[in-house]
Amino acid sequence: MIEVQGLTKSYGNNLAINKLNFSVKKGEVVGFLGPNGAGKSTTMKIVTGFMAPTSGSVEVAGFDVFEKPIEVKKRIGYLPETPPLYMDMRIRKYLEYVAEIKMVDRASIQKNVAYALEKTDLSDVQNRLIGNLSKGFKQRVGIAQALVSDPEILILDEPTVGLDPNQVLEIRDLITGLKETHHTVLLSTHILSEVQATCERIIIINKGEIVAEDTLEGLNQKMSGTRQMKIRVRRPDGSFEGKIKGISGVKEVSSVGMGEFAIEIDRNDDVQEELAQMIIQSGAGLMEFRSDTKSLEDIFIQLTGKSQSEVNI
Amino acid sequence: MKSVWVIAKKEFRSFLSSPGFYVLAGVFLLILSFSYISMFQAFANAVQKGNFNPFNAPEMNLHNGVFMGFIHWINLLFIFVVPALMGRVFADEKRMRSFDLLMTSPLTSTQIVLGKFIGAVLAIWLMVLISSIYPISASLFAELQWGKLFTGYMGLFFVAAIYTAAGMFCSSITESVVLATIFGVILNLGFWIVAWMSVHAESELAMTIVEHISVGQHMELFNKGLLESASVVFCLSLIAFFCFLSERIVESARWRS
Ligand SMILES: Nc1ncnc2c1ncn2[C@@H]1O[C@H](COP(=O)(O)OP(=O)(O)OP(=O)(O)O)[C@@H](O)[C@H]1O
Ligand SMILES: [Mg+2]
Repeated sequence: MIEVQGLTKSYGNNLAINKLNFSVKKGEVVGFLGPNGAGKSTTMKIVTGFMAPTSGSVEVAGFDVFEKPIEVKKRIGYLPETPPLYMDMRIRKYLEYVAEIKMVDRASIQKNVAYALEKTDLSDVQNRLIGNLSKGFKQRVGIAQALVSDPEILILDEPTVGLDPNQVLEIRDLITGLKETHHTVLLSTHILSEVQATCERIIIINKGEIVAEDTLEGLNQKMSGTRQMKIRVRRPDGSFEGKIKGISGVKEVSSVGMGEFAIEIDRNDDVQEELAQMIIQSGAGLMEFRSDTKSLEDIFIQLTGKSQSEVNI
Repeated sequence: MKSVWVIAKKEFRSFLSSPGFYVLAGVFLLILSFSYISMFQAFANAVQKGNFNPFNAPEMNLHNGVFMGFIHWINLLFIFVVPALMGRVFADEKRMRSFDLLMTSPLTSTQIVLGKFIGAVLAIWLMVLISSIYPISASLFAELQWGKLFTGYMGLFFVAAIYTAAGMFCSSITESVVLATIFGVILNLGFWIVAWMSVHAESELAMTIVEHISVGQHMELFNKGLLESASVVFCLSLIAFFCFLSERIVESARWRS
């Protein structure tokens, strides 16, 4: 649905994104993750046809963004970093206007507006002046605006910024719901739990370059060929540690005190099963046995922090 | 075409819902009232004393004595009022980032510019129409020269549209409403300086050229009751020229930054 190839954008001498290649398939929800200034917004601005790249190409729904901008824009709902609102309009009128310029046919406008209002929980305030709304409400109007044309593709730049926790959950539900209705979604964020909650695939970008692109599990796996296990037993005897080390596939065992051990094993379910069996048979009194997977946060820091030190060298 | 109309409607509504529009329209009408009354009094005095100078005013009548001056006044006020109203048209959109919505909607730059122009010019023409209450009320007790009044008003509609297009252009090149307004006033004054230059031009040829490219000169013709195709073509080309420049600026926003 979205094909990005060799996309480069420099602002003067500042290279914001450098030869990005990625694609988003129809019906996929992809998270665009990266630290501040990584180039997320820049990429989105180019994909939506807001601005031209320095070089590279973008195809959306089979149309080149720069040769067939109208075809592309008809199919995209876009929430920019700053919601594009008119302070002197009322919410409902504003959404009707957006629907009109997005070429929604007359018969569907009211239905679409009602849908967007409902999804963003704005029905009660639909006649308020946008200029008088709080930041979170403005953000919601921004999301409603992206939804109102019922586009095949949604491009959301930090959709939950400024929202209260309840709203954050509702917007995440909304995004999950969009997946069920086969919408294609590309959302940017630097909130890790957000991609964890909503995205099937993650693209991590740092300093204008893609540093990782995979599913969440895939990323976890790639990041370490090993798995961290945490166990706690009641009665570890002197030979306990040695017995664990004896299992093939166990890389390292370290006691972290009070009968707790951190064990690094090969990423292999057989090894994990064998380890569990061994502990129980040893009669040490197993209390806790869990895999301590690396969180996305670790991955993120590892990926984006590492290349930062590379740059510094 | 439908999109042009959608944007025009929105622009027209936002003019009519902005307090600034009413303030400026109010000031405009107030100044106009004063000048109208004083011109009318001067004319009435002259008629009473019967002291026309047949050389200075060979055709002293209500139109030449009052309404020509009145229409001049409207034109003069528009030089300032129209840029002040047009300042926000693009500058505010850019500053508030609602411009991003226009740029990522299925609209061409031409549709955006035409829509904005049409919406704005309709709102400004509304002020021209309101000013016509003065001659219309005068017609209740005096005989008017409707033909000359009509061409004079045609002229006003044209110059108002020129100032609107020029103001839109000025607004498209900056994010500051104040700067856009100042640019607009300077540009409109420029149209007049050209008229003033024509009086002082050295050669005959330069004089004719300058005369032809001066908004003021053409307005003068309309005001005298002359509806010349050259004037109409001149006004329409100037409007088209500034709409075209605005379109170029809007389009280039995609390539700049
Ligand atoms: N209009 C601009 N002019 C000059 N440089 C810019 C402009 N917009 C962005 N940049 C630069 O481009 C780089 C990428 O910015 P971008 O806004 O795409 O980052 P981001 O990933 O969206 O960051 P954030 O998480 O803070 O929103 C930054 O170094 C930024 O300074
Ligand atoms: Mg950003």
